[in-house]
Amino acid sequence: MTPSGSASEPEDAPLESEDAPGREVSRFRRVLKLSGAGLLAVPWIGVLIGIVVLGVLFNSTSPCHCFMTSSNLLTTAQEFSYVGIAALGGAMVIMTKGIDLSVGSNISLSGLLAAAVMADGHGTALALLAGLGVGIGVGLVNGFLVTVVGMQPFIATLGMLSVVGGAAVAYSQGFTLYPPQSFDSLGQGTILGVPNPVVVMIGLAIALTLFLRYTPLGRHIYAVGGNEDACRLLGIRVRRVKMFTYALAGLLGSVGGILLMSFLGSANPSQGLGDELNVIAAAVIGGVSLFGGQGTLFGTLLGATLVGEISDGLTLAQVPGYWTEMIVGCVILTAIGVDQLRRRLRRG
Amino acid sequence: MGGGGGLMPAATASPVLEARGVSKAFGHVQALSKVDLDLLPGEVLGLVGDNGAGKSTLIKILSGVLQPDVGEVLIDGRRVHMGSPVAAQALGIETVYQDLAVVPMLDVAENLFLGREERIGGRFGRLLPIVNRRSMQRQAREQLNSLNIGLGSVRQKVETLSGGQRQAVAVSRAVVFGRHIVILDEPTAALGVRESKAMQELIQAINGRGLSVVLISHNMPQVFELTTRILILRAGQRAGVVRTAETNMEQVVRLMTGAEIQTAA
Repeated sequence: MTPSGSASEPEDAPLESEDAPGREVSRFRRVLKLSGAGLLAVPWIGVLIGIVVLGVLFNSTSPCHCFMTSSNLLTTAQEFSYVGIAALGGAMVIMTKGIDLSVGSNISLSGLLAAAVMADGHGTALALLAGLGVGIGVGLVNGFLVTVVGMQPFIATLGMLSVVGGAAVAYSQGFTLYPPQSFDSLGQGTILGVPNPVVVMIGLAIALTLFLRYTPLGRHIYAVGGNEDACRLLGIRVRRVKMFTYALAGLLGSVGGILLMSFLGSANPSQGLGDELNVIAAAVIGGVSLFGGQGTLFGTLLGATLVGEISDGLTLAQVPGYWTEMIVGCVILTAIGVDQLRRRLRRG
Repeated sequence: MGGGGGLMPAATASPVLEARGVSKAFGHVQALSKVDLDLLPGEVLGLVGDNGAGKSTLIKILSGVLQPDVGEVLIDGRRVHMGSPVAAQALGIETVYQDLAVVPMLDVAENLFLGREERIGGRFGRLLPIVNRRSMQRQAREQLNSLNIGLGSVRQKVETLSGGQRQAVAVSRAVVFGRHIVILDEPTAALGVRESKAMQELIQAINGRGLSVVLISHNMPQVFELTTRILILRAGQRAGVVRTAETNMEQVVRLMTGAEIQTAA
C-alpha cells in the first residue's frame, strides 16, 4: 500500500501531445488521480465517500442506531429535498460565475404567498401560480440587477435577500398561515414509497442535467462561466444566459418553498431563513466551482444529501440544534477551501 | 490606394479588407488618427507597433468590437458597418484574440462550434433545440486533420491541452468559419519555441487555403518569416507600410520608434 510509489509511474502513455508542458500537466494529473489527492479532481467521489462514512458514523453514534434505516433515510431525503431543488437552480447560477443569496427569502415568500392564496379560498392552481410567479419574479429582478444594472451578483442578491425576506414578514405580519389540509398531500404524499418532493427533486435533476448537456443554452451556461469574454466575442448573448439562470433559480426556489410549505402544512416568514447558505453549500460541496464554468447537478444533489445528512444525523445523535449551523458552516468553508485548492491544481 | 511601390504585382488586385481614415478616441486619448490599412487577397499582412501604438484598437475596429469615430471600413470594396463581432463574422472576418479565445471547461469540438452549435434536425429537433454533438465532433476531427493539428480526441476538454494546442483550437475555429479574412492577435505571445514553430506552420497553412491574414505580433523574426507586407503603427498613426522582401528589421524598428519617417503614404 504505497499510493505515492505506484503513482510515480504512469501506466499508459500520456496524451499524444509531444509538447513538454502538456505532457507535464497530464503526468501531474495522473499522479494526482492515483494518489489520494485525486479526490480533488473528481469532486463527487469524495462527497459520496463522505456521505457513506458519515452515515455509518451517525448510525453508531445515535442512541437508537436508526440512522441507516430506509425510513430514516427517506425522511432525511424528504427534509433536504426542498434545499436540493433550490440548489439545482443555485448551482446553475454559480456555473455562470454568479451567486443567488436571495433564495432563502424566496423559499419563505413563495410558500407564504401560495398558502395565503389558498387560505383566502382561491383554488390550488391560482396558489401555485402565485407562488411560482413570485419566485420567477424575484429571479428576474436578480437577473436585471446583475445583467442590466451591472451590480455584483453577491451584492444584488444580498439586497434581494433582505427585500424579499422583509416582504414576507410584512405580508404575513409575522403570523403563520395555514393552507387547507388537503394541500398537505403534495408534500407529504409518496410515489412508490418515495416522498413526492424527493421524486420532484430527482426528476428535475435529470431533466436539467439533460438540458445542460444537450441544448445550446445549457452549453452556454458552462461557457459563460468559463470564459465570458470569449462568449461575448463569439456572439453568445451573455446577459440573456445569465438572466435565464437567475429566473430559473428563482422558479426552483419557489418550487422548493411551496413543497416545504405543503410538507409542513404551514407557512411562516422565516421558513427558509438561512437556506441560501445550505443551497450554496450543496452546490459547492458537490463540485460546482465558485469560479464558474464547472460542476454538475448530480454533484449538487450529492452535496445537498451531505448537508441534509449532517443536520439530520446531528439531531439523531442528540447534538443540540444550536451546533448544527456551526458545523454546516465549517463544512461550507472546507468545501470552498477545496474549491480554491482544486483551481490552483488545475492551473498548475 | 496607390501605395509607394509601383512594382508590386499584388497591388493591382483590389483589397479584400480596407480601412480608410479610421480614427478612434477614448476620452482625451486619441488611440488612432486617420489610419489606412489595406489587406490584399491571399496575403499575410503584419501589423506592428510599440505598446500603445493603436494595434489593438485597429483590430478591434476591423473585427467589429469597436466602431470608429471617423473613417470607414470596406470589405471587397464595399463599405460595411460592423456593429458587433457577430456582424464582422457574418461578413467573413474571424478574429483570434490573445488569451481569450477558448473555454477551458468545454471540449475541443464544442469550442470550435461555440456560439454556432449545430442542432439535430428532424421532428424532435424542431421541437427542442438539441446540439448535434456527433456531427460537430466529426467536422472538428476533419478540420483539425486537414490543418495537421494533432490534439488527440476532439472530446477532451480544452483545459487538458497545452497553451499551444489551445491556441491551435482557437485558430482553427477562425479558419473553419472564416470565409475570407482571419485576424490573429499575438498568436504566439504565450507559447514556447516549439509551439510557436507549430503555430507558424499553421498560419502558413491557413494562408495556403487562400485566406487573407492580418498578423499582429511583437516577434520580429516571425513577422519577417510569415508576412508579405508589414504595416507599422506609431502613436496612433500609420508610420508606414513596407514590403517584407524589401526591408529589414532595422528599418521596421526605425519606423516603429519614429527614427525614420516614411513619406510616401
